Amino acid sequence: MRRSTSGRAAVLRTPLGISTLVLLVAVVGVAVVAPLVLGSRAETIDVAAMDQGMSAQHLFGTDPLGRDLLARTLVATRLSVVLAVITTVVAAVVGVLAGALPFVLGRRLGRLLVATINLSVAFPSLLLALFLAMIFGVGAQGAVLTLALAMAPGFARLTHSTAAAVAGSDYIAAARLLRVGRARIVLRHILPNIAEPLVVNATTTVGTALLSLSGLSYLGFGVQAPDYDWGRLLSDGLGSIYTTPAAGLLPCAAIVVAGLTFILAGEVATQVVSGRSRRRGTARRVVTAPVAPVAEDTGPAGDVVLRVEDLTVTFPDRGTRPVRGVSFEVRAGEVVGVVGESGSGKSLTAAAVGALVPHPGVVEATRLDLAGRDVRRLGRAERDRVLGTSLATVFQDPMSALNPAVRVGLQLAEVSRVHQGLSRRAAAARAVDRLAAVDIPSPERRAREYPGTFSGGMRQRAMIGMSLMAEPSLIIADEPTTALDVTVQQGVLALLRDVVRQRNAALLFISHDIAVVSRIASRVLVMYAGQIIEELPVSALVDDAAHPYTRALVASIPDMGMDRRLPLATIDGRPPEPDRLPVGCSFAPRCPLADVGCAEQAPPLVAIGENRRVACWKPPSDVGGPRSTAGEGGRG
Amino acid sequence: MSVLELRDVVVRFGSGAHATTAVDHVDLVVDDRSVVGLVGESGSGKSTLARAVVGLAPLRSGEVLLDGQVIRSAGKRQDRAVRDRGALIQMVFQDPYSSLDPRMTVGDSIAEGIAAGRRLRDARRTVGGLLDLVRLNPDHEHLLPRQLSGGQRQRVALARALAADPEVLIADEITSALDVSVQGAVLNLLRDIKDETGVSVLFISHNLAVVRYLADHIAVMAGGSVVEFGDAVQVTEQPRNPYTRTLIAAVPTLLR
Repeated sequence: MRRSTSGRAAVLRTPLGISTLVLLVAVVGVAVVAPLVLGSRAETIDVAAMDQGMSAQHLFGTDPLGRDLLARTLVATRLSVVLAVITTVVAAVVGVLAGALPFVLGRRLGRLLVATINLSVAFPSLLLALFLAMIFGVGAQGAVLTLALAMAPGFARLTHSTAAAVAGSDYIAAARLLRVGRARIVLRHILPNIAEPLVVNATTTVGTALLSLSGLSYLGFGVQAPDYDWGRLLSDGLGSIYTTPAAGLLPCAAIVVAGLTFILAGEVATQVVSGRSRRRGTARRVVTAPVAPVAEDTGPAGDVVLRVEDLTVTFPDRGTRPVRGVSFEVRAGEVVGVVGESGSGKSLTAAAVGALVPHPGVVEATRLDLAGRDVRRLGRAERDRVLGTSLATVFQDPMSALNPAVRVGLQLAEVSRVHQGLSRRAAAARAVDRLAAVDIPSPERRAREYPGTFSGGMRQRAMIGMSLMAEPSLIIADEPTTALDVTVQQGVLALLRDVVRQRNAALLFISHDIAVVSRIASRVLVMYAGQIIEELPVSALVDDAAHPYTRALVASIPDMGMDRRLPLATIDGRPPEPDRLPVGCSFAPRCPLADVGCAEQAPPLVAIGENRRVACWKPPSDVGGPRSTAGEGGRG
Repeated sequence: MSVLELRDVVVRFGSGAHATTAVDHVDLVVDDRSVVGLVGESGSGKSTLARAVVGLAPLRSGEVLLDGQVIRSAGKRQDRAVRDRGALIQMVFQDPYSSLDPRMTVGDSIAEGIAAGRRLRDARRTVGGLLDLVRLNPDHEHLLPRQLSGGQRQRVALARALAADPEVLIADEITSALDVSVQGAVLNLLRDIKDETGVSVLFISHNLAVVRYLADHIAVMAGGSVVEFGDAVQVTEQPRNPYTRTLIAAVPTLLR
């Protein structure tokens, strides 16, 4: 709740938001106040002041009956806006009903209604309105009704298509299984979930309705004398446009300003709504064009490829710090696993290395060296070049990382053409070669196919192939096997292992699944609440982990040998919220060993052996006690 | 007594040359108070089979029976009383982030299940009692799904399904969207609930180790057919089908 309000406020603080708000207040204010203050001035006939030009008394002159033009234009705001709003409301009610009805009616009737809606959307609404005006007759009431009916199909179509998306969701299926009635499903489940786009659309539609109503009045179908709206004023004033230009120009300006106001308001509403839904999504789904590595001089094997010191990622808008002081190294030819639950900061850590942290995240570090270059100190272009040539990334969902409309071979080739300047032909040949390197059968044929024809495992192979278009010194793989079947997972893991071995690249392998990590990594970093809480060789995972959290994670994996009569091992509680971190050890509230001291002060990450670090006040004595501080501040 | 029986179930999508058979002549029995585990990879047809049982996918041929009474059969729309009986089979979905209405409080979601239970078989469950059954704090009644963790949401989904007082519960990959540390708690809970309520369970998962933990019998699906069925211990320890052996080898365990 708190987050959504701040999201709303943020949009309203933008220049667009501020100007829209000012305009909206002005238009509504004039609509309310003008008839009260200027009513008599606008309607009193003054034969002494007929058809006057600009003067101090009548700023923009008078009409043929001596009435003040500015006053008339301002007073007309109320009728113009009110009619537009009524039109929109009627159109929305009729449209939403028609759009939702197919979900209540049976299949056949529903289809007929949908077809009718689709057909009527094809008619331009103003044309339809003119036609309907013949039926309803002229006058304000007729204009509102005709226009509302003409605009209703748009609402109906929007309602139906957004509702259809919601109707396919699991919670509707669950309601159907509970034999909840169709009408109730529409009222309780569907309408509340499509309200946002409908409101946004309605706001924009007020602007459109305003323009169309003015058009109808101008043509004589709408508001009739002695009432007047802007369209009526325009129609009256246009005849004397050469003598008193303001008579025509003022209502024109008013229509433009008010129309723009409501269309902008719709735009702002869209931003508010989508800004909030963006916030709901995970920050980790950052998809960028995979980067193309060029052979970088990384020195002999075993050299440090990635060195991260005291890395933090902060989201100032939410006041959270999902990564808090992380330090680690990855060497050439090494596979380092990063394990943690969702929200542990593991994916953001990787994103920070690749400069892929989503806006408005702020990345800070005392060191962030990739292939010997401190990425933080480079200019933007140079940084992109270093990242583009030394780093390759493989994401969880290969379908969203590959463009479904471009042939696989072309997508791979593009990498080399952009980053390595290869010719079209050379890049295409290289793409086929790399597809072969990742064991894709008949690579020449496959290169000409679209991603949609690839299975999940094949797509992930193609992504790995893309990451190998040149020789990356570091590959970051973020949950690369999570979306794959268990039998396919093994093949992809083996492929990644081979890639690292053959090319002496370094691999940072991120997963929530410690079992998968144990099959590929030699060293494991365990993350919890934004910090590394343990670093250990994979051989120590099973019996020799030092941190109670690591032990609990290991114990919670169901395996084929466990006693079926016993309950599965679990970790009670849940990780702390990023905006409500405990003062002491962040695992203390869930830790069976925790005491008062643990809750008061956070344990530092200390070295307890070669390639071993742990942040715990109570590591078991058999893995050795704290010896030296590894220089990582875990406090706070 | 509540026995779920599938007889010669076929589910086919599309028509003509583009038709694909998702479920190919499957026979399966879930005995009273027992748990049948259904294992297979994506595309094996296990989820489609589950959806067909609860009426979310159309049967091309075959029948679904509850306690010997046909509640669903191909091409025939059952009368209302029979369809209502179908609500005695409830399902918990894979993704707790999409299976709860984001605009509805926990209490309101569960109340829909309670209303179904009351209407269909005069069951008198309460929101508080159900939250207690799934080990959630009764205060959660007034929260919206986005205020809950994945594991908590899955408990709410479980409570909603149980609110209808079902005879059979279908659990379709209910832990695969959850963190490993949460998975165990949800599986333990499901096992406890089965013991407490006596509901029969069709438990679907791609992970044989998870299925082995819960199921009395295991059915292995591949390409739309059940390729192996048997006692859970026997299937996991002496698999007959080579595909079952592949699945066992693929179980993600720590490499020692």
